[in-house]
Amino acid sequence: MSAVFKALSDPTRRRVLELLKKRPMSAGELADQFNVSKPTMSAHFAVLREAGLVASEKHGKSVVYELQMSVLEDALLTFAQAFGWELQVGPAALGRDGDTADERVER
Amino acid sequence: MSTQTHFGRGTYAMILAVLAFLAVVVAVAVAKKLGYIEVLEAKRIGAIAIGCVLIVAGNIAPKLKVFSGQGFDAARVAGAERSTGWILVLAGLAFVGLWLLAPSDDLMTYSSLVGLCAFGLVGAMWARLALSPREAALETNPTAQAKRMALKQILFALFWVFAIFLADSLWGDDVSRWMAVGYIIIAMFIATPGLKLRKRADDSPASE
Repeated sequence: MSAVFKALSDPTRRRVLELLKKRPMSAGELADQFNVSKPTMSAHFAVLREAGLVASEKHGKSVVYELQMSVLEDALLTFAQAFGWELQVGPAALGRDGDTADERVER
Repeated sequence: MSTQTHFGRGTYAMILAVLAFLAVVVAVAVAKKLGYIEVLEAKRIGAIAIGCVLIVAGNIAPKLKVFSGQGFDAARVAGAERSTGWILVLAGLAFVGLWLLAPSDDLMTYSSLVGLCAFGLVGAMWARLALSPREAALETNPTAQAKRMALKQILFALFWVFAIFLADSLWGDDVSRWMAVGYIIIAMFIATPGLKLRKRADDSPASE
């Protein structure tokens, strides 16, 4: 369950899940919606996959993501969206650019 | 095409729910037989256990994509999958709430109507989707299909339980007994494709 909480604690990942509620999307389509690098997006997708919130299918060269959330996880996502729920990080956990350790690892 | 899926938690939850339900049924039957609890109390506990199974089954239904709408409009299928889970979970909560709080008069009738209405809503939603134009279906993961079939059987059993509850409260024991026999016969027909899918999943190299 901690993997689910971790996945839902990031606004970008929550936005990905909100987009996937409408329909399954390719990695490229999803990445176009965000102003972040592709490796960072890939890391976000990996966290979501790890938590079992999305499933991925390879269609030729593109990877299509689709939602795979239980009702409880859906309710947690709605709750997290409503209250702007984010992981609490102290100043020590932030890098020079104000990024989190999680984001530095992704780069 | 390769598929990466995460069904572990959902499957474990389903197995745990069924085992817990069976344990509760056996415990209640023994306690009633030994005179520790009254008939109404035994009914309440059994019904609450049924409601809990509906909640767990509804919770994992969207995750397992139990009513796979492959080949139909992806956006509508995604919406229908989510709605199915929410309807079943809310119906399960209402069912449990009724058996916890409502007085015993007509409890069987109202609670079974809640369950049947939920299944009716879900059925109508998917029937409407099935009438929409179909596109080429994609290949599906046989392991996931076998799990979907298992969950479908649990949901079908729950539907039948609600129908038997209603028949029992409206027409009495005789009708409900015949419905129980009918369930066994229909379940045999439903189990056959399930067993075939299970065999396909076991034979498949993609199986877990």
